[in-house]
Amino acid sequence: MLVIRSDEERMQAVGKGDMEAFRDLVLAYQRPAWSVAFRFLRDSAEAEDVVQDAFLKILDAAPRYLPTASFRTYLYQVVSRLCIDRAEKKHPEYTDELPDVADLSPSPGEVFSARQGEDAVRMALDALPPNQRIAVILKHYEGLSYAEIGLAIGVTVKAVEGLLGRARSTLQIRLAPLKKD
Amino acid sequence: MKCNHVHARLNAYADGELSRLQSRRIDRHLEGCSSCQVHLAGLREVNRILREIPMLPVPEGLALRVVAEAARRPPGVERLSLIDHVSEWLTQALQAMSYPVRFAACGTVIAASLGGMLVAERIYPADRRYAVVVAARELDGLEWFGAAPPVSVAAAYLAAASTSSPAEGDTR
Repeated sequence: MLVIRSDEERMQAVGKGDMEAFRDLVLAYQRPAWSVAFRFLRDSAEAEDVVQDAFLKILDAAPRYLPTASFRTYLYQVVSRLCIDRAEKKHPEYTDELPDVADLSPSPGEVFSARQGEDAVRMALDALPPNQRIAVILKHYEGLSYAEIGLAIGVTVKAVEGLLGRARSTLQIRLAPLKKD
Repeated sequence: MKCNHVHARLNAYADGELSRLQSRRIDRHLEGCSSCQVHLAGLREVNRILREIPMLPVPEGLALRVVAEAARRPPGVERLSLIDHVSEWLTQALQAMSYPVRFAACGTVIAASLGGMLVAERIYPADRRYAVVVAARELDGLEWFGAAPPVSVAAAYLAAASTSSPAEGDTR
């Protein structure tokens, strides 16, 4: 008999050692995990490492899992944290909080001189501070609400609004050459 | 609504995150404010450009590699303790209950605790407990230090100390 289980029920089964349920979750969620990791890191090998680490962390935490939020949000939370940690290791900032001021390179001219279109957008995204970049990725490519983004990156809904506002202001300046008149 | 208030909420407005009432107020402001209209248009243009980046394909065999790595690891990386099992069972039991039943369960636990205190008071009244406390207060705290057992390190140390220490007042 075919038993259809929710992701949360699968996760609870994983907590009891059901590796089939774990395989089902990986197959169902490899795409969003990969999408966030690759868009954030822009390095295929690193993104694959993050996806693997994320699912292994989820497997380890499964016995303690409580379905208070959806599994999808939980996955984004783990992947986002791993991505931000990697970004911090690459460019360590010795402050108490994540940097929220955009790096001013590359300039709009540099963006324009890069291959127009995708590359220019990716360069502009890469130059955003990690917390703004992840907020933009979760909003624009994963379609999360402000509340879900807040849960994923551990900030309030108001803070998400601020992060997206600052990110889009920066992007508006950098992507000005790509605007359709 | 003033322009600076509208600017502050324009991202949430464009993302459909505002309530119907808030959106309507911004709609009304936008109808008569060309500056805010330009701002919103710029915002929507950025959103359009961002949406143009295509979806990247997932590397072939990624899921299989993740599952294989999980299977390679030693089992039970984080095993549950007895306390984890009990707390999980309690949490699941509470979650399975409706709110009135949860309140009733909490009330029963509180009533049982109070009842237990009353029964304990009957069985072992306060004056008897106080008698023990008063007796304890009469001790000076040194009763713990009895004589050292004859065959012990302490006895050997005391014997050595009493034979080797110079007599009081002997400074030579």
